[in-house]
Amino acid sequence: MAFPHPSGLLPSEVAFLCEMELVTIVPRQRLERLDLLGGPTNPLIPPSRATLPLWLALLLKRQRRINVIPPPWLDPDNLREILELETTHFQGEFSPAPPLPSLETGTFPRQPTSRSRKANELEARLYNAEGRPFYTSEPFLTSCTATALPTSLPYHWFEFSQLLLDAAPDDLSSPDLISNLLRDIREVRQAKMRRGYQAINDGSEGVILDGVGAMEVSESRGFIMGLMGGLRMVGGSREQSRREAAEEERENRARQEDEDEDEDMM
Amino acid sequence: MDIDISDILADISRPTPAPSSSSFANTQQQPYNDYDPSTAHTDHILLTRAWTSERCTPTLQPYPTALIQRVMDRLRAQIARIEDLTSGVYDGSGADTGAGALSGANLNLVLSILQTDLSRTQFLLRSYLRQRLAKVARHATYYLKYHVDSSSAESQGQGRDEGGDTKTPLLSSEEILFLRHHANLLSNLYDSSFLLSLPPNLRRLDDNTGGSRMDEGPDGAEGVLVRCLGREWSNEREVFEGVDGDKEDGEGATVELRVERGGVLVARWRDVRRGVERGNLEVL
Repeated sequence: MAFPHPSGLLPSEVAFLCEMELVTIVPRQRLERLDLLGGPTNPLIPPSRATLPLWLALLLKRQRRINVIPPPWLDPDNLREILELETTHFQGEFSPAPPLPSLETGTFPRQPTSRSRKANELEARLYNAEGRPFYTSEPFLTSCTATALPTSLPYHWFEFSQLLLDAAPDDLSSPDLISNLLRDIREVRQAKMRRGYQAINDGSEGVILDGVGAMEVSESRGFIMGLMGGLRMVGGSREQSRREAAEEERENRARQEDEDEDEDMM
Repeated sequence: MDIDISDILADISRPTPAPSSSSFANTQQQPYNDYDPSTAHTDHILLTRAWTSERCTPTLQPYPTALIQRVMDRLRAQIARIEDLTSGVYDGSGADTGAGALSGANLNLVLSILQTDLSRTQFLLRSYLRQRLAKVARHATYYLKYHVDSSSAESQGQGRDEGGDTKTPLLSSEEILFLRHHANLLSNLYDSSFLLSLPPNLRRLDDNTGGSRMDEGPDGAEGVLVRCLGREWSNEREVFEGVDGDKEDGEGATVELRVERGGVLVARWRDVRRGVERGNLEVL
């Protein structure tokens, strides 16, 4: 068998993705630029800050060559505020994730995004080797660096904080308190996820899951997809008739247009 | 000093043609002097995204031939570079490549970083290709019948599955080879083990008479999670225009969806598929 795993990312693969997140560090020794396969790294010159992919930061941290600067949302006070947001302000849904980089400037907007965006999308996009633009997204954003927003949890929040608590507890202000708060947040969000299962249908309409985290997706994907499949089997005949109705409507519309044209001709 | 993402991006997307080529001037015979930092980063992002969508969706996605070729070349060059560093051939005059003035401990550090990086990319690529093979093998008859044979018959490329964008093939040539071999082996096995003892009209593996299909394709109605990356995405047009192209799959969109930038949606694969292929949506 070519590949034994079921569809959907495994938790270990989610952690692998999370290790590509950028993180801010303070180097303790010099290290020149390295041409890695994922792009060149920033040269490390103490004591100025630099950003590195998390896997590299963890590798260097284990050898005590750098210190990690945790993102602002991993501060106990901010975590407390996030918990407050999750429990009181957003009872039915996840608290909003940090916005994607603005299509105008490429940096995170400080305010929730306004609706009046202009045509300049260059910064939030990159160009591939053939020169075609594409949108950047997690994990290649700055949602885990020192410039991240303090009170919104990024997509990889759970894995990121666990990896950091594991490898760099001495760089966090109070690791025990942080891990307690993270556990509380996780439980609140898991409860929301379970409540959210009620909205799952057979796919005949989209279900919104804004602000969900990567690990939460990974752990509930099997259940959600199974649920959708089961509901689809139950409602199969209804789906079929709905499809036929849509087809008929389309044909009617086409006929109507033809008739209109005929009338125009006359 | 605080390095902003826009600085990094500007730094990376600067169109300098391979600055490393000059620093490797004295090692011209080496194969790794064509490292191009501007495409390395974007290729990495795109490979990661291709891997995620291949892992999380039921159908096979078009094969990014050029991308995989570049990543393979880069991998090969990096392996050569690591080997040279290990054996001490490289004398280290490229100052901005990280290999400059290396001695003892620092060389070991750089080597361990390079090897970790190499293993990560190898994992990504391997997992990606294996996942594709698994999908191909699972629906071998379907892909053979509707994608390989049909597209080689009508080599004009019209009416391929990917509605409009016929430039990117669904399968690479190696995958087509694998698919043919696989299907051959399988039908030989079935023939020799039981099919030949059946009446001739019951021997076909792709018999579609009687209303039930034997060449079952991937299930386009399976659910996926997507995030909107464009300013806004909706498939109203597709739904309005209807399931044309490949009606026998039922692969067209039927459910109208609309999502704003950053929004996450649980939906059926066939409803969001075009958005993912155009890069407006990403699969989670």
